[in-house]
Amino acid sequence: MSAATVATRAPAVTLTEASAGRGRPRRRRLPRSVRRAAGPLLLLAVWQALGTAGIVDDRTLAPPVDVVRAGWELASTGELAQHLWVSLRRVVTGLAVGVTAGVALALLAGLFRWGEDVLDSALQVLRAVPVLGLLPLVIIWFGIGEQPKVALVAIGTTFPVYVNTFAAIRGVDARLVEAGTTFGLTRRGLVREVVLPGAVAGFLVGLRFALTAAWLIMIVAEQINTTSGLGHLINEARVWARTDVIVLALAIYGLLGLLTDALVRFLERRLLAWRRGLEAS
Amino acid sequence: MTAVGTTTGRPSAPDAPPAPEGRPPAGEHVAVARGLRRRFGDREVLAGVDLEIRRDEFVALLGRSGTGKTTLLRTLAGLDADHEGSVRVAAARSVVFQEPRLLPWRRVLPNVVLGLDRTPATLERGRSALAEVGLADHARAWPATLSGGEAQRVALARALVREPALLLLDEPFGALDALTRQRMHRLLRRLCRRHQPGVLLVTHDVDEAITLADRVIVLDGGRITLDEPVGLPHPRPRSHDDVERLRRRLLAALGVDPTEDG
Repeated sequence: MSAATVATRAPAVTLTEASAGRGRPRRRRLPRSVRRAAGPLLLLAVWQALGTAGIVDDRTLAPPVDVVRAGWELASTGELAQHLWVSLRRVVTGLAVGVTAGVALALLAGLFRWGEDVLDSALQVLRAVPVLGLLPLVIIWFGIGEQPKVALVAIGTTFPVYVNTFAAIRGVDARLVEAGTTFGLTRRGLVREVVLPGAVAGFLVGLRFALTAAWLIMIVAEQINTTSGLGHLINEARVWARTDVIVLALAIYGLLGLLTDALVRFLERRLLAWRRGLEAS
Repeated sequence: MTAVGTTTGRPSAPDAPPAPEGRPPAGEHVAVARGLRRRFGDREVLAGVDLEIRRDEFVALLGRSGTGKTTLLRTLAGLDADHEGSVRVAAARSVVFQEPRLLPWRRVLPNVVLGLDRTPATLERGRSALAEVGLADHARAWPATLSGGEAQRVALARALVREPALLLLDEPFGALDALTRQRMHRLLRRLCRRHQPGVLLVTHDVDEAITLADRVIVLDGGRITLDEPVGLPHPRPRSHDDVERLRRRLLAALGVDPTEDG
């Protein structure tokens, strides 16, 4: 092709600084953490102001200062610690049972064809039943003591652990399994070296769902036929219209949720260090 | 066929000849396929392949995509049992795949000795295999931190630490950039001279086959349509007339007219 046929001249090009517009002088700004804290603090301030001004009365929603005071009173008598401990023990026991069952079922269904045939369809059906709907049945079976609460948490946490761990076992990279085979790994070796380590990430996803579910179930289960635990505290407070105690208990549930989430993140950092190539300490 | 089970350590000095005990002597077959057929549904991917690979022989297997190169390699690797015909291979064989296929949750050294016992002697062998591919410092690294070329070198170390009598390479350099690939070619030639396995390299790259192979095979339509030794001295620059003639012949066998332009 000949360039001579192109008669028009190319337009003149002006060069500008490549990073133009990005180099504007920085103003002094507040640190990001302070700015991020501003939102919640503003919310608390408005809430407190509404209460102090009498626009929202104590029986509707106690202001933050009252909630803190209620917390202080309950803590100083040791009552709060006692209820907290009872709730924590129920959740931990239920989780221990549920997570163990979920992992065991996922291993059976994930590693053995007959296990999948027998278990998976049944578990997928049961999974569709809302756990809290089992509450009346569980009360009939276990009465009104500790057992029904622990049982509900156990049932409610089995499924998310099972579903995610099973999917992770089945989703392990077939090419790695194949490579392992050519390098002489036996079936046991493949499970230990390839399948299980590859399923850890999926298990942790399931664990996170399970922890969220555990607290949710506990909030409801503890408000029925109990004489102890955070849910009981809420229930009692409802009778006396102590919204400060109710809000306090809810805040504690929230904190416990954050805490358990941090626990999973810690586990992820330890167990999945290879993902980011960090040195596991 | 000699069963190649135990190997008695690696050569102590880098340039010493490999220990001959327990390994088939040079020239002995490490893979023999007779009348090998494989079909996927209606499609016959391998339509009667006869192939012999000797120890100490570097065979390049060329073919357009979909001609059954990889199927043939997978059959020799024992990853495809669904074939007709007889296939006998040395017990000591290793594979390097197109992707490194390292276990991301194991550090480099455990990946190299995967499937072997974890005795100090084995770990030491793993370390020297890493040293051979130039990655002695990376024994404790996570695979995720390696570059593509480094990861493939680990895969090569993992294959060689087993002292294979048959080394199967499934387009191992296909995903690497041109410079890294050239370095890998030199490394592979050096390692093969030292360990002297029988090698089957599956590739679609004619120049790669010419650079590395003692013998070139072209697979087309499920059959071997060309099988000839490359009797050229190394290095084999393309400017060399014999190299260029071989290159044209191979391209023609692959159905590419080398004189046609664009």
